[in-house]
Amino acid sequence: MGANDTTLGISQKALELRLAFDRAFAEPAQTSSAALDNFLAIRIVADPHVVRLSDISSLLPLKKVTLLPSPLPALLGITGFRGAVIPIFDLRVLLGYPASEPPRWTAIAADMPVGLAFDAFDGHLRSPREASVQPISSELTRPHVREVLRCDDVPRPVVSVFSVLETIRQGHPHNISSKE
Amino acid sequence: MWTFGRKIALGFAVSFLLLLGIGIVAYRGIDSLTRTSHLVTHTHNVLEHIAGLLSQIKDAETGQRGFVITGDEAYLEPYHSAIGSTTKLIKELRDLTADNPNQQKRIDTADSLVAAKLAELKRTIDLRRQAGLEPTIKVVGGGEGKRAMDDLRRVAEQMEHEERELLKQRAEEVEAAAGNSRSTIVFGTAFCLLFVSGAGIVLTRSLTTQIAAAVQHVQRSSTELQSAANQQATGARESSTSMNEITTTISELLATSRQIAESAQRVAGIAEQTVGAARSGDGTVQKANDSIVGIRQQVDLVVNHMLELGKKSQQIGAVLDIVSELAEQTNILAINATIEATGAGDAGKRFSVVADEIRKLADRVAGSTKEIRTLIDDVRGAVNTTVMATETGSKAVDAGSRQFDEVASSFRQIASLVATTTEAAREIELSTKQQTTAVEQGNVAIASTAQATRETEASSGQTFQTASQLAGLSKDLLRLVQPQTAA
Repeated sequence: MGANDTTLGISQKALELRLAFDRAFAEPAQTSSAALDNFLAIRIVADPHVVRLSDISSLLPLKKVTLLPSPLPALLGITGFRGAVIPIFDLRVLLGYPASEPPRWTAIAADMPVGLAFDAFDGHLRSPREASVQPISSELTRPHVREVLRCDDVPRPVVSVFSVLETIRQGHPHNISSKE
Repeated sequence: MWTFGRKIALGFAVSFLLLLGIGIVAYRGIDSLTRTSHLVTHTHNVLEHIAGLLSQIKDAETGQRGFVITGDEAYLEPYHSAIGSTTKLIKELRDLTADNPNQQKRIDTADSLVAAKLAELKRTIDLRRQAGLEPTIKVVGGGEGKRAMDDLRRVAEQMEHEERELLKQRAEEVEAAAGNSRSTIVFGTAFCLLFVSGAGIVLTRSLTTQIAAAVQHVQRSSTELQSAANQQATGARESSTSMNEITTTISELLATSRQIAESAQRVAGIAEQTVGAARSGDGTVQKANDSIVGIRQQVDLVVNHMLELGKKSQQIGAVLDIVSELAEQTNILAINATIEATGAGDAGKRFSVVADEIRKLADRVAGSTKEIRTLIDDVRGAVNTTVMATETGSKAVDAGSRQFDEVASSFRQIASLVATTTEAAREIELSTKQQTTAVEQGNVAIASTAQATRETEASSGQTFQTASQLAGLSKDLLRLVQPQTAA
């Protein structure tokens, strides 16, 4: 009975996928997407966070990092990306989290060829602009976090890539790990 | 210690010996008197013969003188009878005095003198007949006849004198023998009387003392015998009661033994049925064991199939990993495409829509992949669980097989044990029957014993009565022998 239910469930899932795929080509193109904000849902240690999709230029799994001796605790090393060598910074350290496991993902910043490494990638979120993003008090947040996105009733702090890049750009170790 | 019989026998023996001695002495005295009396009679007989001889000679002389005087032949009658008698008398005298040589000599002398006298008488008688009276008177007057007669008288006197002397001597011997006999009889009788009296007193005292002691002992023993008989009667009554109870108990035991025999018979029958059932069970277990071997093989097949299924699941998982990675890559590509489309401005909007759809599809594929992975994991878990369960089942089947072997062995053992039980039950049945027979015999024996006990009780009563009579007799006897003690 359980096997039959499972088979039915899988068949139903395949049917839904097929219908969604077909519907994507059957429905007219949505042009109102400009009114929506795109977020990249990530997980730092175990906490869910989001990054604005407009702040990054690419997302890729972090395969290999060449370690560099550096006074900056957040700097993991360097890696190759589309024919260029870019530095990889640990977003967990920049946000004040302990760094235990090696990060698996990195997002390349749009404004600067810098990779920001994190633990997990949850997916692509889209929400109406300014509708669900709310500011939070600075006392309760970690560094580089000023807003929170409420999507599907789950609050996800919004990491300010600009702020992070500003910190990196300043390049001072004390600035980079000032909250540690 | 001397017994009464020996004492009495000794007393009688001594008395007998004394009486025998007295009797012998008296007999010898009487015998001596008798012999002496015979001798006196003999002597008197000799004296009579001497006097008769002398008288015959006188008669012959008297007849001769009468014939001489008268010439009458009739006067010769004494003469003629004397001639025959004198010879006979002399012969008898010779026989009577055969043991006396002196008298034999005198008889010879007397015989010659008698012959000479008879010859003188015959001459004178012949002379008278021939010559007459006168010449005859002259011859007679010559004194020849008178001398012969005197000599004969003298010899006769000598013989008489000797015989009288013998008579006197024998009278003295008689007197002495009579005196001895008298003394012996008197003193012996007196001694015998004294001995018998003494022995009687001693025996009486001894017997009285001993009989009194024995009677008292008998009296005590009679009392003890009474007590013992009383106790024996009481014991016999108790024994009789116990015997009755034992008889009742043995009857119950007999009934129980019969029930046990019947139960043992039933047990033997049931045990035989059990042997059959155990053998049937052994066959069933053997078949079940064969089935278990088949199950074991099927389980091995199932295990192999499940392991194969596990391997397939792993391969599916590997494929799913690729699919998942592809979905992730697609998602990344879609996100990156979205990023690129966003950067392209209005020209990238339609591309952005396509990229978004691709991302959604990739998201759904990723979600479905997760679900499939979950299902695959479930399947693998189920396969592992099934394999483990199957292995556990296989082990259980092995254990079951071994247990079936043990069960089969146990069945065989049960069959063997039940056979032993059957045999034991039959032995019990036989033994119980023998026991029943023995108990019946015991019951009969107990009944006989009870009868004997009743008889013992009766005989104890008789013994008590006899002991009482014996006690009374002892008292009477004691009263007879010791009146003062009995009183």
